[in-house]
Amino acid sequence: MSNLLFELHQHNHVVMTQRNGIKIPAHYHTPEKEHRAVRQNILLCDYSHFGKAKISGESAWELLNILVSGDVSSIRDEQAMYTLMLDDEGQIITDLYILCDEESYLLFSEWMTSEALCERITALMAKRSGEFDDIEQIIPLNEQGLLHIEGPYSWELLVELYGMDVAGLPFQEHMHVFDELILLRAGKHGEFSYKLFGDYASLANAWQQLVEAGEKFDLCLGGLDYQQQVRLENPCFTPTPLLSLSRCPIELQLQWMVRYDKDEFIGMEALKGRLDAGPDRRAIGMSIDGQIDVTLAFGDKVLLDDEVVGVVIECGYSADIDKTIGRLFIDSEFAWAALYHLKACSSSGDVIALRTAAVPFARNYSFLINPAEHSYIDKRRPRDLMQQFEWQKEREEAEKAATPAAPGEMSSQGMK
Amino acid sequence: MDRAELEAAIAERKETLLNVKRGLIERLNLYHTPEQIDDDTPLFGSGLKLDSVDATELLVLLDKKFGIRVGEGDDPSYMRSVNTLTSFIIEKKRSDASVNSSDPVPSLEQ
Repeated sequence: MSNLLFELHQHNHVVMTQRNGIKIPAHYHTPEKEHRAVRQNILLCDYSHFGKAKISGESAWELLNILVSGDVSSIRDEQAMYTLMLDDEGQIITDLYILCDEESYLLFSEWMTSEALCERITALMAKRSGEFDDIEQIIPLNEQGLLHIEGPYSWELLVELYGMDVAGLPFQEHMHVFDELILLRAGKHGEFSYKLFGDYASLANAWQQLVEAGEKFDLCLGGLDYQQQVRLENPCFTPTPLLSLSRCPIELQLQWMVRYDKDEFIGMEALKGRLDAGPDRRAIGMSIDGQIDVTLAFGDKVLLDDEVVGVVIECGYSADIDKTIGRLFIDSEFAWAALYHLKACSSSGDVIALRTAAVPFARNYSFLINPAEHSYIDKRRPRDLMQQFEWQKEREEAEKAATPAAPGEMSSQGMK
Repeated sequence: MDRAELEAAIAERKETLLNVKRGLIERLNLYHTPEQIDDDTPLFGSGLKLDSVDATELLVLLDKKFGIRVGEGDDPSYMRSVNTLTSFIIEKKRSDASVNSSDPVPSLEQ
């Protein structure tokens, strides 16, 4: 499949990778450079591998509400939600975004093709024959792509291109911008994050505009490889290698994407049953100070004294926090944060002590940035909350120094 | 950490987590049961989707339920998830306990 956006990457001689059958850039720069951009300024990526589908009709929301574990009735026009699609056993098939856009709903899934999304919806409709006859269309959106703009100052770049409304766009809401593009604010890594959805020609045009306007923001182009490090620091749903261990939202601590108080959704009864029984194992964060010499990898044993109580899901080093971090899948009775008693054993037999930990690990810089107060390019405004406090302190000290001392203070000073 | 210490640490965290979850459900009128709230559930943005008004409620919860007054010097990252909020409470309680235990015992003669 070729399109203007794909041709643009080819023209740039980028190393490509494939996900959901779609070819997209693996990386434009080194993983370190792309990681730094996403944590400190802006990274621009092609996320066209997302499966995309559209469903419309009066009862579309009711059909979707059975299909996913979240509450679709809670979103209105220009709002979005992040939720899960489960199978009959209450096991995760994929995560997905659902956008309510005027009279229809758009579905974006990182792990499922557009066709597979449509097949799931159509199969459910067929199963519930007669209930959803007013559904007008269920169509895969293969002619449209998705750009991903992520980083603490991504909002500011988008304000330049699409206007001030971007600065006030709430999390998980979207707006229509030029060229019939839809801008969605949503992300999984704790930073300001946006997705631009539309036809490939418009996106290729937007890509060029973002690159040009992004120069003064030190924007960096990226591919999918950067996700490995950011998702180590801000864990989120990733099927590989996790799904060989578990696909259960309870074990993976993803129940926040489930609305148990809904009338029904696929997999609800099975999930409730498992919740009542309690999970045997759960995913939990781990951390070790500094960078360790031992290599811990998926499947390595986790030990309590000499007893095996679980396995390593993933492990790596974060220079930002100077810790070796990762996740474990261990017996529920020990899956609590801030415990120092466990050890991991590498495939080469090295044993290392670790501490269980809360996730996410990253102290996201975006939390220190308020679009109403801060700026990357306007030197009259502070860059972040820290600089704002610094400037405020300097102003207060300058004002204090400029204010003449009161007569009483003068006399007492004179007496000293 | 020996087994007894481990069991004590687990018991302390389990109890505090349950109290935090119950406090959040009551104060913020959440539809969940404690079992439906995972320990790493984010508080703001995604997860429980709390807003700035709820943030004030969290401070009241800390004060009323746990006797903790948040100070200017406290790193606000404790508000990221149920687990980080729980760690903050446990650490505060421990530091309060160590301050109290290091207070000089008042002399009977005073």
